Amino acid sequence: MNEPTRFGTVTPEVVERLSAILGAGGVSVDGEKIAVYSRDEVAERFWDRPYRAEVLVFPESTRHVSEILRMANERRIPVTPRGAGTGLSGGAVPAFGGILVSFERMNRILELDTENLCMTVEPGVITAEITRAARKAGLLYAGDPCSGDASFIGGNVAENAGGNKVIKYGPTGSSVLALEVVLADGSVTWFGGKRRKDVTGYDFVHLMVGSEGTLGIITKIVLKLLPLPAFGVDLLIPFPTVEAAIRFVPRIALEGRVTPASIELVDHHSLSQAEKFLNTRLPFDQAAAHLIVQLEGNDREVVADETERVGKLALEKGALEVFVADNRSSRDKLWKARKSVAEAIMAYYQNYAKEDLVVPTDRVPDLLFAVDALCRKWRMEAANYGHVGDGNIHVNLLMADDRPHWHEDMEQARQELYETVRQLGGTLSGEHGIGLKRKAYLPQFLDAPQLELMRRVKLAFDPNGILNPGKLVFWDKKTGEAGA
Amino acid sequence: MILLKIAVFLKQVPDTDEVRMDEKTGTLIREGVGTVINPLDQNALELALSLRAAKGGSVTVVSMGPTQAELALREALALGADEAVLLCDRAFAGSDTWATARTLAAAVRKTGPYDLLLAGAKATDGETGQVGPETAAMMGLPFVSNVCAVEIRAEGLVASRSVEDGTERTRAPLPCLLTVVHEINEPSMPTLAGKMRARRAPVHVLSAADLGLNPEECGLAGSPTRVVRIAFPKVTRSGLRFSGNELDRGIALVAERLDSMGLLGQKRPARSVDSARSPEAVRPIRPIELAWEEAFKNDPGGGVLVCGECRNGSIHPSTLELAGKARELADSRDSSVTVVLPFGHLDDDPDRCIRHGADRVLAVCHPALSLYNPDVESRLFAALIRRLRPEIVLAAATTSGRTTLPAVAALVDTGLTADCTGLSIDPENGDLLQTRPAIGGNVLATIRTPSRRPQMATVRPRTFRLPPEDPSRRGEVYRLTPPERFLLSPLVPLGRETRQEEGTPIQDAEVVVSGGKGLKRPDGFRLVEELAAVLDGAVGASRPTVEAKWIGYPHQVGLSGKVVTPRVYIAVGISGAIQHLAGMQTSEFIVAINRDPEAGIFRVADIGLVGDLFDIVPRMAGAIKARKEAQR
Repeated sequence: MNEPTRFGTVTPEVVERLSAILGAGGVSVDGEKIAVYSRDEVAERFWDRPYRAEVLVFPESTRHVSEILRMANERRIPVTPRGAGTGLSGGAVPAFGGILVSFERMNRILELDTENLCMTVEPGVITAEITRAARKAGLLYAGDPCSGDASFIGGNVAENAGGNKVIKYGPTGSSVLALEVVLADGSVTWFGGKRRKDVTGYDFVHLMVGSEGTLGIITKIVLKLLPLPAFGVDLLIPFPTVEAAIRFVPRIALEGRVTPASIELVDHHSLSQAEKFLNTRLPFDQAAAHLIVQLEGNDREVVADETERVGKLALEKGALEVFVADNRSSRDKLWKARKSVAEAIMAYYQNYAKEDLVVPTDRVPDLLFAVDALCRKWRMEAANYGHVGDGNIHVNLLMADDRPHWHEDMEQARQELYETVRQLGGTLSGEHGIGLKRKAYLPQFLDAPQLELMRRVKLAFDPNGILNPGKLVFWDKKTGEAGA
Repeated sequence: MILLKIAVFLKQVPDTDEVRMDEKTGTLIREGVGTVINPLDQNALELALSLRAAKGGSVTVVSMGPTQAELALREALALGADEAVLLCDRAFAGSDTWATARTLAAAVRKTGPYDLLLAGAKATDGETGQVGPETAAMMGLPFVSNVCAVEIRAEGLVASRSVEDGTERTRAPLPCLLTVVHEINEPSMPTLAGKMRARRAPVHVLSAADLGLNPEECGLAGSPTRVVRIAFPKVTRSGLRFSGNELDRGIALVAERLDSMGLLGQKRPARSVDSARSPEAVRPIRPIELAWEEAFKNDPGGGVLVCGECRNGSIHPSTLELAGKARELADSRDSSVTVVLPFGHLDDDPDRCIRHGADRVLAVCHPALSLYNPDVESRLFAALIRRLRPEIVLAAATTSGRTTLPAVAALVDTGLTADCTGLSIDPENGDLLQTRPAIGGNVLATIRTPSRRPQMATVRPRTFRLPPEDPSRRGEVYRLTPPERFLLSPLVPLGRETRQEEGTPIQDAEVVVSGGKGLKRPDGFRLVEELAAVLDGAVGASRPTVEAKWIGYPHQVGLSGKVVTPRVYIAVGISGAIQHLAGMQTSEFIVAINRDPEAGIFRVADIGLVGDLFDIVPRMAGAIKARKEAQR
């Protein structure tokens, strides 16, 4: 078990077997198609080489997934599960080739159970579809990643996606009640159930959540739903300094006595990119930072009272102005700006590092001061935005110039940044995941006993290491890397 | 400093982005749907606030509706309006556009006078665009519709209006009424202080009695038109779906279908569909000159009158379409068809109207008519209607038709149905049955004008196919020159600019290729343009792409943009929000390309191609080109 793994390869016979399982339409060896599916939102030039699957499959049922895994396990062929490819960690990149499993055909909402306030879905359902289906029944699915219009729920669960409503509702995992999982050898089991409490055994549900496809493959998901708040309002609050904006955040709970559904920060540089990208203008766009504070409730007057309380408080704490968006068109406008920052940065910069740092919320200003210093030292720019309510800041290091050794400079700068984050009591990734992109930095944040424990967990679930190799966990002792 | 007293008409409409469709009945589900200020009314309010900021004065917002409409008014107060007036009375329920205009006019008289009245060019629910012009005409105010820019001068204002193929500039005095379109500005967001003030500010409620209106003059009782029937056209098409290895077959099928529709043949001469004037058969009709004062003084009345349209010296195809339809209606009433053609100069042959079905043509000619002036044109049509006393008046639902006709209807005191797609005579009582899509094309309402004459309708261009000319048809052509004093107008048209780079206007095109957010980047539209070029088609766009300014507003298809009925509609990377579907689902043949098999657009598509548009579109363009080559 501890020998370096020799992965099996996908022979024509394997393709034939897969076709027998899935039908000819469920298997593709078309090189162009495989190339498209072999990546996520991480630009390919960030990798040391292009990674390609050997075969691409489209299962339509749990049985399909089970048979694929049984065969792959027998032949030691790597299996990489893939959602919509909106990930930012290289999690869906087939680092060791093998079989790439796309869930786009397992995209049914199987049940909306209003009595138990839950919904059972297949992993290929688009997150926004779930939100819409729940809303139709007057219910709320609280998961709200920024890529939700495109992402699959399976990917959200596997990466424990965060998003905009974490401070009130928690990340994706908080909404997961149960999972049907195909284990590495093809056996199928259910973790959890339509139950709000469960101490019968280990909490495998929340071990699976965020395991990035390294422990098993999720084929059904039971999601928790909540009553849909009748009214919502977004406050757009420009501040003269980023620090003033961040210092205001804890005041909302302490003095404003409310828990907003979201508190988002967009700094000036991020906002300019989004404005340019959308060709729109938000008010006070010269301000150093904008906060978006979302309040919700069932009584229009109560929400209006809270809006006034939080708004006045913001003005007392130095806000330049407070704008109130309580109808769809203006709410859409400001969220569109917030949600397009990531895409805008990719559109305008070639050389960048998108980080997903988390620090204790009171250390966010220190983190951002450090980023400033780093930028001066390395002649870079930074665009900082994100879920400031939960201390999760997307620091983006940007190089406007096209220096020859940009990769090395960026690497150095990142190392220094990570060291600062560690000292501030923070960590590497809040919601994007470790995947292929951040795995090498894991030992800076997790100690040896913990890494060893992760390894043992991995091997308990997947003794042959076929499940999404190369991601998240170091399980092969001899090489310190996964196989090959 | 000029102090401007401005009133803005606001309508509260269902939030079309939240509206969903009941798959079984094909109807809209409105329950639980929020309401918003009609988007174009927001632009009108923004204009009012910016004019007040520049010139001083005050802004009053006026809305007619149930008590809930107060929410829209409070949002307007939060944005900075000074006063809010809610016209709320059970007697107002069921108002058509004529009765609404009458109520608004009364409210303006009661709360005014104002220097400037503003409204959105149309609402996203009713989509008639009639209330603004009707109100202005009832009050005897000059008005400019579809305004996309405005400049206040000492002696009045200069407004630019957006039309199918460009812009027109008009000078107008104050007071006047403007209806505005989306391009004019970007509505702002209310501040906390504004919200706090609005929450506590009074909203003045006025009833019919407060306005001095008799309940019989308002609401349903005071409305000239009646909805007699509502039908729910089934929106789902039995679409064929192709993906993966099947895509090639789907693309081939599209090319085949385009070919069988005759769209891949030799490049046809642009737009004027049948310049086929076969000279041997046609004997020109000698026009009869008539003096304006005496013309048709003793006409027996009756028949169908078509308000024609001439652009750049030629008769607009819609006028000929209407002549044909009018012929059919007149035949079943045993009456005659008259086409009025106002123009400054005409290179075209007015006899064509006769060969398409008219009995007589009134060519109204004066250099002052070469630039569009809704004031002159509406008085001209109204004067002729009074003399000719037709039973039915038809005009094309073009930008100018939809501007002029509401004013005409107000001047001759009758109802008007906007943007009809069906016209027929009720065999029972001989009334005109006017059918129009409503609520985003998901409902077909059939409307009657039971007690007033004439019965008036604007008709969506290209609704009725243009039949070939009948060279044997004979009729009379009269030439009329209106006297100078008739042409005196408070509105002064200053000129028009034709958009250069934009290509065929989407409403006039036989083929529309539209792009959505699936194109990913602004330059994604190149792909759409290339496919459109292969098909000699126009380029359309979904609302999100226009909002992101990837492409200009004239390209926007949907409730908040243009409603199009081309022969072929190809949707590229468009998910198919209700508000978009409403703008294109009556197209003859619809192709949808989208990577999401669940995309709503596939519900209305005849052929759906599921996959990567960046792969499919070039392949389709290639297949079509190849088929075209093969034809040569």
